[in-house]
Amino acid sequence: MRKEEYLEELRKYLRRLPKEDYESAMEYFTEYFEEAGPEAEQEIIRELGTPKEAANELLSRLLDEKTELIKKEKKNTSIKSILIITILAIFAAPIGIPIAITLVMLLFVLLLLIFVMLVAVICCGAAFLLGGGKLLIQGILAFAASVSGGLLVTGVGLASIGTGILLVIAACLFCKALSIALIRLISEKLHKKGER
Amino acid sequence: MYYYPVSAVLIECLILSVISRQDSYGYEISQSVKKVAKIKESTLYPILRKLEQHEYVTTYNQPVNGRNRKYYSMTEKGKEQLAFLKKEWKEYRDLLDDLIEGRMTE
Repeated sequence: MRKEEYLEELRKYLRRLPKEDYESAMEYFTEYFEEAGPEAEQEIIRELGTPKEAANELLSRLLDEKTELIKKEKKNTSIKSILIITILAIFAAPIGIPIAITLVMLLFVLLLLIFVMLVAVICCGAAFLLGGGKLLIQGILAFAASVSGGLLVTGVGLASIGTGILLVIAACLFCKALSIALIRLISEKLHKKGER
Repeated sequence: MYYYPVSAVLIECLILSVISRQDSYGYEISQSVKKVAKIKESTLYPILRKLEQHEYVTTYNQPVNGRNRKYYSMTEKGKEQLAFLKKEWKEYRDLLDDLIEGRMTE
């Protein structure tokens, strides 16, 4: 395989990466081939393995790096770009179709789970907020009849609103932690299969 | 080449060391690292990319012989990271030596 063909093949596997990651990787390898000169071409290709192998290695390592960045709360790292890399890494991995399907399903389940959980907890939070609001108003109205009764009902209302807010925050944090954990699991699986 | 594998963190330290002496480009960095470690280009590139994204190095383009060369250069943050990695490496290396040579004292 010649340099041009090799880079073209590699391009196919990396094309769907976020634009910046894709361009940077292609530039690097194009430049690398050029610097090494035509004599070293075959040697480099031998070292890299097939374009699919090289892409698999690149993608699974990029994935690790992205999850690391997200943990550090760095900018430029969206969940969307992580998902794209995860899916690409799964398809470029030297693994059988059944395992690839399993991994994709796992990813799908992850998304569904996060969504369902978010809906559930947000509903719960909303219920607390609404209930709390009603109690708060009732409590304020009750002051006319009894100060202590008014205080009690107002207090319960406020506590309920607070619980609602906490629930929503907790849901967001939990979803983030869960996505990172599952993506790690997938990338570990990819590594294990990749390192043969 | 040696029988021992070289970890990604150590590669990070090697790359930063190379760049700390003078600005360098992908192929040159790779050739330097490959003098001491058997590493594939597909492993090396993501580490270089990581250094870039963590802002330990910055890049600039320079035309050479009618084509473009991407140079990597050290940032202040990179210097700190290299100092940290060097310190860790020396301590780790000495500790391993102590155990291997039987100098370890309880």
